[in-house]
Amino acid sequence: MLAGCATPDVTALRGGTPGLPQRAEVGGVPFHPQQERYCGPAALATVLGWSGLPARQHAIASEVFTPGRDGTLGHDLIGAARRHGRVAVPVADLPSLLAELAAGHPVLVLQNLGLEWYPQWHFAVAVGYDLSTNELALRSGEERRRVVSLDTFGRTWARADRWALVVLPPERLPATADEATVLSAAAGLERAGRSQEAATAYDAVLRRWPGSLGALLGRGNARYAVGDLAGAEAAYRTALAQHPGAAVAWNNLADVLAAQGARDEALIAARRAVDLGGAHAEVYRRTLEEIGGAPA
Amino acid sequence: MDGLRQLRRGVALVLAVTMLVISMPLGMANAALVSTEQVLAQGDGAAERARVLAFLDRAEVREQIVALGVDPHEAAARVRALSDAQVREIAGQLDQLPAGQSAIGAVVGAILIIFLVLLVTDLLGLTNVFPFVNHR
Repeated sequence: MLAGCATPDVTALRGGTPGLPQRAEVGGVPFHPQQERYCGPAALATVLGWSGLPARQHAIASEVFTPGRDGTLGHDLIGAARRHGRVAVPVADLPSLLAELAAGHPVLVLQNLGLEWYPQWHFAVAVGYDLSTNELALRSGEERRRVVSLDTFGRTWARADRWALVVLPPERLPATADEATVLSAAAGLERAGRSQEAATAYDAVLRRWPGSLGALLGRGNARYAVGDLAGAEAAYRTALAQHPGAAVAWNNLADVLAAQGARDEALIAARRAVDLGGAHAEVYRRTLEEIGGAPA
Repeated sequence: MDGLRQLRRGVALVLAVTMLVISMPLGMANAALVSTEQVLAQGDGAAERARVLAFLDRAEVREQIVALGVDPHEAAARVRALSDAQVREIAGQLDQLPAGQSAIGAVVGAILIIFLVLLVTDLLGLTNVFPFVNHR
């Protein structure tokens, strides 16, 4: 039981993490002293405020608070961040969490302040750390700057499955997450109907990972969703210039060409998708049929 | 309970297929677009199946959120903002998932724990705190 609470994360940090400064503190993070049961809304208001969207915990509680659970569930925080046009990206481990703080990004965390068999779930926002004193600073509950040892935090965080999130403006990328994680965060904006912000996020992904097929396609889909058909077509063509064998890009190009009335060109693209086949072959056949080509 | 869930899934499946058929001729342009989420799912042959399953789970999760006291419109908006993978992950779990509350709750909890510990030790005759515990 006790062994399960050991913090290998902190041990790893003591070994020295290259590139990580001794201490860091994120500036411009507002403080929302939480009201009864509202640690979720307060934490979300804190990171939204930092990202440039002033929010009040009472106003956003309806988006994240679940009365029947008398609290806030993690996925609702992710969903609400997206609904506000913010990219919500999970943070994987303690070194990544500190790296995000060093990059100037506050990190929303879930802790289990109690025990595994007597959990006390709590959302807070990490805002700074100091490796020389082994401390982490958080906006937590009614405390503007609660300082806890990294070991204690590591344990309470591990008991909550290391759930953590950065909530960023769409043009900004997390310091640590990999391409797939950032892409699905950007796709979440499309899901929440914030396609304009999604397109901005895909542009940011492409600046860091220029050949990213997911971002090239996502940019097209996001432009399509806001009615920018010419922009979508251009995005799919750019994707194909770099990935000529990407059946999805041919399929979506066919779709947007048909929507613009370019039926002949659309047919050629649709047939390419059907010929290439793959995971979504069924959809490609449907596209071809809808445009009016013979089923393959 | 499980049987009921199965039955509801069955009904939902029939409804889903009906809706799919009804909506076929409409929404032409987007019916054949592959979404970014689908691209990222790196689906094998099961991609389409996973999508249908998530579609069913969405309705179920929305119902569960409403049952937990959230306004139906808001519940729908919450579910809309989640990816298929997220929906599949939380379906049927909303009663057990950790719900963040407050740091103050921990103190109240601590008092409860002390109460329980003292109650047990009282019952064992090791302590004598509560008058309602018989010590003979």
